[in-house]
Amino acid sequence: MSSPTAAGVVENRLTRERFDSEVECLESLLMNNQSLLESLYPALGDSGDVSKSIFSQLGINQVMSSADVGVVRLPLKEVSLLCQIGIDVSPESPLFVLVQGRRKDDVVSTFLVSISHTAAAHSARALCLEVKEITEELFAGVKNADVKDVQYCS
Amino acid sequence: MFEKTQQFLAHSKVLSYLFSSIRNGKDRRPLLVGAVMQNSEECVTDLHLKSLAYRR
Repeated sequence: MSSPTAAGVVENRLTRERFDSEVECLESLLMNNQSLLESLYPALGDSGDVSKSIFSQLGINQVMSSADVGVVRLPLKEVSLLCQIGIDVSPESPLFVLVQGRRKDDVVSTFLVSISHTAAAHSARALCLEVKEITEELFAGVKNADVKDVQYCS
Repeated sequence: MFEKTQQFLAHSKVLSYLFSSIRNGKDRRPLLVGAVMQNSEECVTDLHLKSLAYRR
């Protein structure tokens, strides 16, 4: 890819780089997107030369494209329990992920992450993420802190 | 580029991976992949999610 020029007329507003043509600018935007995905998922690519990445070498992008990226941040310094509840996401049935662990102050907290997928006819599909802290007992009569593991069977 | 993200990931460990299909009423079944990542330095746990679509 060509390097940006100071006298360029097309600007990549994400990086403030300027290019001589729209094609060069679009290539720059695509590389930004690729770099972002590979920085989020280093196992699927490397942070060096994009053309030498595992993504490109394996031709993964020829088969699949990334649609949505989402991140949920939980205030847990360590995780003691983790369970994916469900194997399929649809607009009607979200996928849940149960996460329990210790906060910075060693208090045990439990979170339920809900992942759903919109399918509106006139808009792009999109992941919808929701987080709810569960304060009530997961299992009646058992303190959440005493729960050692949760298994999901479909 | 994305130095903070890369720095965060460098100090994180992957606890588990998430896999799911996405049903949207069509034959195609895109995939949802994710990772649960713990960063003990910042005392946070992240769920990173990404949906993939098969190219037409």
